[in-house]
Amino acid sequence: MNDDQNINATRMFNHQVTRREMLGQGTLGFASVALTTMLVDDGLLSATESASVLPNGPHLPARAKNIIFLFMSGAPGQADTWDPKPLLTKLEGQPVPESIAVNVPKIPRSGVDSALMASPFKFKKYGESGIEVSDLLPETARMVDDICVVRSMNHRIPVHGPGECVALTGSAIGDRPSMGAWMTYGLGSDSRNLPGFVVMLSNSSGPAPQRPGWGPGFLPSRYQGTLVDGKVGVPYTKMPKSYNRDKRTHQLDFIKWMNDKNLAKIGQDSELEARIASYELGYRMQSSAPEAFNLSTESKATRKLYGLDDKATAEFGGQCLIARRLIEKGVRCIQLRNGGWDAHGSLESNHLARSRATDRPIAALLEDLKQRGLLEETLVVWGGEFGRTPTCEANQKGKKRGRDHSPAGYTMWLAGGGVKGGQVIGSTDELGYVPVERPVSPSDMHATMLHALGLDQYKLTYKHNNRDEIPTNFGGEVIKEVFA
Amino acid sequence: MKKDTKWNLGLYAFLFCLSGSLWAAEEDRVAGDAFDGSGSAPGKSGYGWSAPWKLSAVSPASIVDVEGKGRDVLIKGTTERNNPMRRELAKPYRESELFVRFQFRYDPESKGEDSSEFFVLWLDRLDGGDRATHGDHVPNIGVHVADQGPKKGKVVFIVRIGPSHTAWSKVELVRGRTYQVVARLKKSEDSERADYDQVALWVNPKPGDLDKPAASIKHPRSVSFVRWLGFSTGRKTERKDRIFVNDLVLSRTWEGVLDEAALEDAKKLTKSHLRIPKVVWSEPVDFKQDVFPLLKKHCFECHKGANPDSGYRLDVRSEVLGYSTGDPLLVPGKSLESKLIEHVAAKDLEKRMPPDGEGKALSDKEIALLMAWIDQGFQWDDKLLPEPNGKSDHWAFQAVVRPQVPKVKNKDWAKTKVDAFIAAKQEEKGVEPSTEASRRTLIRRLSLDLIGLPPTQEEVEAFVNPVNARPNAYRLLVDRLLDSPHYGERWGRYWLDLARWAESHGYQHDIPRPFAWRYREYVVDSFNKDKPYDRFLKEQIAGDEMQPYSDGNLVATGFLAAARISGNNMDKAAQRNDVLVDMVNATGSAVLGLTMECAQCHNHKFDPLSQRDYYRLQAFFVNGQLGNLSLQNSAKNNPTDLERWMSKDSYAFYMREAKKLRAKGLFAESDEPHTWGFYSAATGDAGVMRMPVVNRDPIAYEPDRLKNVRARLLIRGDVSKPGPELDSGWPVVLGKTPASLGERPRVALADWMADPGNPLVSRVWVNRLWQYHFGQGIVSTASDFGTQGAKPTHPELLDWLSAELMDNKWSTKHIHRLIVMSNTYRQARKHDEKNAELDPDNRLLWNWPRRRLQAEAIRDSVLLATGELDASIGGPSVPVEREESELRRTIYLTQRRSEMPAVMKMFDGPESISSCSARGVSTVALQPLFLLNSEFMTHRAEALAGKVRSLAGADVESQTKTVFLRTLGRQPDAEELKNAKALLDVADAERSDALARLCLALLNVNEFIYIP
Repeated sequence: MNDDQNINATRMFNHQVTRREMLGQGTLGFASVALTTMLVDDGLLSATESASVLPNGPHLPARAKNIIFLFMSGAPGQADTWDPKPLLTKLEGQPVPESIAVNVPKIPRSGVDSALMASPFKFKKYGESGIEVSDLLPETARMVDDICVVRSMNHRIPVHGPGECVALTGSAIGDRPSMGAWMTYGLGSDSRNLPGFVVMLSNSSGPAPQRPGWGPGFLPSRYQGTLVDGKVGVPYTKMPKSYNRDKRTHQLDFIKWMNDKNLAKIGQDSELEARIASYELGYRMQSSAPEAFNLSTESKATRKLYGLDDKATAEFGGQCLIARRLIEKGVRCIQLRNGGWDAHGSLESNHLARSRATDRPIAALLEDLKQRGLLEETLVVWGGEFGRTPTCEANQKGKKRGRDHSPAGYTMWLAGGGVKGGQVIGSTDELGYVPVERPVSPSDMHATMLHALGLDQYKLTYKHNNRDEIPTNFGGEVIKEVFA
Repeated sequence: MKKDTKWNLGLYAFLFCLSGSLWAAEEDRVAGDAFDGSGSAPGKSGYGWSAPWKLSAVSPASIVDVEGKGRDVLIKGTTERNNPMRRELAKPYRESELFVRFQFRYDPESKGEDSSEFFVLWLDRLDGGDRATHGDHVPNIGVHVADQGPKKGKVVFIVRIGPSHTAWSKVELVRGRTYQVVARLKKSEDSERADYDQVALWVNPKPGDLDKPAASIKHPRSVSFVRWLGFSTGRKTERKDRIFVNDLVLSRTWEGVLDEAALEDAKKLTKSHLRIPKVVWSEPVDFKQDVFPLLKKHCFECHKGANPDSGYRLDVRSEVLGYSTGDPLLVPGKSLESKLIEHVAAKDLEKRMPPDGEGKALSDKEIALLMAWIDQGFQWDDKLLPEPNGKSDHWAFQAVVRPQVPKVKNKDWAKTKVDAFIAAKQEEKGVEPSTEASRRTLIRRLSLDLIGLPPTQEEVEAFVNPVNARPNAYRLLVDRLLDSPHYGERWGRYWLDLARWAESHGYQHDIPRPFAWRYREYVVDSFNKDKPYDRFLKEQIAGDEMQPYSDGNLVATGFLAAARISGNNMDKAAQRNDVLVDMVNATGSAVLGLTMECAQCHNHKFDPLSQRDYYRLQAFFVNGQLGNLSLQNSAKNNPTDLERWMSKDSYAFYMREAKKLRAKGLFAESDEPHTWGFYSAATGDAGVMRMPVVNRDPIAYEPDRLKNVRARLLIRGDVSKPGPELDSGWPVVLGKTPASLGERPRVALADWMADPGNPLVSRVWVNRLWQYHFGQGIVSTASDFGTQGAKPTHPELLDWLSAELMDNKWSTKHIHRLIVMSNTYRQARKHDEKNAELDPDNRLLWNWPRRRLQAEAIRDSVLLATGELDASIGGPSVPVEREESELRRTIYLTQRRSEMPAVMKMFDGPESISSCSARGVSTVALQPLFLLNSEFMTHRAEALAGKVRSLAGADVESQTKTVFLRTLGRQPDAEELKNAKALLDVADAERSDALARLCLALLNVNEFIYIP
């Protein structure tokens, strides 16, 4: 049976004819941009670069188009980074005053019966805003006028795994979709050649990464984050050794020809068409993804800015730079998880090492995005699953001292994406135990992040078990004052 | 107007209500003594005691008159242990909470604040005598010097369970000051035999302080009941220290233990948020005439009918009393303790009913009427508002009745009874079925569908060759495939999805379960043996109970045991409840096709399933626990080298965790055969031994305690709010549970599931089988047969298949045969514009619904094509490190929840968190990249090239044909041959690489990846 005889009135085949004619009869050309784009736009091809589920775009005027979540796993101590507590220094070694202790919620390991521990780090005022930042973070502190510090985060889950799930999905159980999945579901992705939601892990010492943090939950699996090794790039984009571009193209042409022939025999079938197109997308991803991850072409100045040639900053600096490059290519969500902040002991050396690895890269990312005019449309969020206690854990002494987990009060920050920088929202008590002003829950933070992207948490729904699920489960409050 | 005469303006309304609540608090009291009797020693006064106070011969307590303060009990120190007074309760107290209060003042010899002091009240099972320490595991409440914490060296109020488990409050003792000391003994597990493992302390508490104790301690071992209590002094109590005690009260509740002044405060505090009417209804309330019209006017719009919007109904007497939610809307006789009044009289508009903006607030008169109705004892009119009959007219809850096979016009096509049902609907809509597929397609379809592997080249040729074709060749093929041991691997995997089975605990630590593989083997074997589905269910639901005992039955409980276990050592009760919830949800979903999970916290919003139904189903499981269970007759198949079937990381992690537990005596290794299963301490076979579980701080397994656990409804699903006790039972709408379920209640549950009158079990199963054959069920929501689920496209066919299943000894293979022998199943894939217009989604099956292979079948098909498949059946898993050296079917790859095999992650494998009734089919760009570039596929392409060379030699044409035959089961046509050969047209040195590229190409084409 001849192919052409089968080319009848069906819609898809008209497109194929057009394309074939364009490429010339009988050739096995592997470049069908028109078809692929059309399938994507019709939502038939749900590649990672899926179309938005919202036909008219975001619900609200979007401040940000993309988001980068810098997730500091293990939990940085707020009193050592963004929430200065001079009283801690004064009361070093003493018990928690009754007036503050009474307000500490009954969370296991709250450390409220232990002795107070001064931060080993000093705080200084930075920028025009004069916000105080710890000596640990001199580089990020330079950008403080672009940063909105939220010092009144709080929840009640004192365990890493569930805490990470709360921070990234809003629920401790780990069965709900990650925020990145919700955002990709709501907005699709502008990148045709790369996954819409990319996750990179660095320094995975300490608590294990929680898959729900980038999982799809009950959303279709295409919205899940793609776990990418920063050094290698998108998985499976490297061809086997014996291949080169021509050989691969020839092979793909043959696959496509076989698939088209099979389809012609069957007749219209959107799923098969989508699978055919997925090879074209895959090929484009294979061609363009390595480029996004290849940092060798970056200028000396950029390499220096991100600290690529410094052993301490090379890994996270590389990921921050990749993040910027992915943003330029239209990737919707990027999640960088830096582990190892869990300083139960030797907090000073732990936080010094973690900050050395992340401070310069984060500052570089903000600065670089800003100078390229991308910070305006990119929301950058920083924070861990919880904070750390103002008291010293157990009876450790001297440099061995560390802090336990404290979800009752901790700090996160936001920058870019319409955020009004140089401001502090909320505050904790004089020791940093619990918020005394403007408490913010993880769901509030999620609602705020969605809002920045133009998504209304109550309108972005997905029907699951006959329930219209929303990203924030029971709803959160958008922190309006975050925005300019 | 009769009504008006009932209304009196009265200021005493508020007082009346208050006294009602006070009685309530007093009713809760268990024992007490105000020491107001005569005499000089504490004696017979008080209530709730079996005998007078027993006094110490060393230094007894005495009654003294203190100037200006009335009578007090005086206790003096002796600088050694002394129990100056103690008393026995009228009967041992075993309830889940016991509150105790006493008044107390410590006047030391000198006013020096630094001296050490000691004085406690103990609550024990025994008297012990004058000098007993009441130390081991006995709750003590009092004052002591803090030896650590911020108050180190100071005398503070303490609670302790035995001398080594003490919680120091921050409240320092001020000498000479009078204190009200309140303590609560609490059992984490609500069972008479459980210990009071939590003790909390309040000093001078206010009514709202219940959740703010000054100190609290938890220790798993304590006393399980209280019979004796008394006061103790110790070495640090100086001879001249004078301790005054008064007003001892024991109560079931917080309200009951508070002193009268505090109680008054409590009332004012708790009721100030209500709009208490200034009028009172003073005559007998007539429900029909007075209350009914009011409820109808203000409440019934949202609170009436089987599935009220709100989840609460006010039109059924038992429901008003909280029958199915455990959360009564009113307490007869106690209007001010009634939720109904809390809502209608709420000042807060957010809380008020009817809601602000939706209805007018009730008038004072109306509120007063409702209060009177409650306070007068809650009269009802059962004729006017009868109890519902618990029945539903929803189609899926009606018993299966075998329908007539319809008569159709297209008799030529409708060869089988299944076809008749399909043709009838098609004719009704005017769509026409497709033609029969080619024999080459049929053997590939059947083979992929029934065993998850493509046919070999020889099998294809034998089947399509007209010379060999016997008239019943198709039937013989079906028989051969259904008899293949690979059938169980394909169809067992569907069941593993439903069972949310995996080989680890899940959650944060995801600790491996080294013996969980036995359940997979059980499932595969059960499908291969065509175990009757009712029997299959019974073994999985009640395998530990079934008699005579068999290892296989015990292994089957792996279904229940596939529940995840968190490492939540902070809250054991929640951790355990999560496991129970997981079992109920999976059973409800997989077996009954019901979304039971909705009823965990509230009555189901759509289906006639109440919260009570949920916890009655949960009650079947509350005496059991998951664990590594000993097998008795499986010695010959007992591989013990865990290292072989866990990944390196998993194994190292497992051994590290096991080591920690070993050090604490919580775990011991064993070479004996084990399985990961569920075992009830109350009803399971007595011969089963349980080896501990490796988990961070595992849930304690105490069979004696577990045996006596009684199921309770959890109010709003909150594990800290246990409601009424419940008996085991199935949802009321599905039939009446007998008064006694006998000694093996889960066997009874399984028998009920298999009863021909059970409307769901058979329907749900045949629908799943249909779905796995055609990609979509007759009911497209295969795990939701409730009112919100999809309606069946062919209800008669569904019932006919159900009847066939039950009438043929629940044989799953019988249903397969009915389906695959049909012409419906044998149709060709062919698009038809006219049909597509009438039925675009192919719900009437006018076309073969081709579908992509599942993850396992993709990988297995590749391995079969390359000739590398190790087709051995059963046994432990293959860890990722050995995937390349043990190329077994994908179902045998280690299934740790946090590290699922790559191919399953890539091609929509289930998350194994909850029961999965249908996998999604996503098409994403990473899939082709996996199939083109992964190391696994690169190796397979090379292997296939090698195989082809060995079969076909060096001839390019012959090689090409062989690749087609091994991958697609057919010869290439001329054009295909030409284009494929073009790929091989390279320099000699390149030849083997080029052949591998062609092989990889054909492993990627749709024809290979789809069931044709």
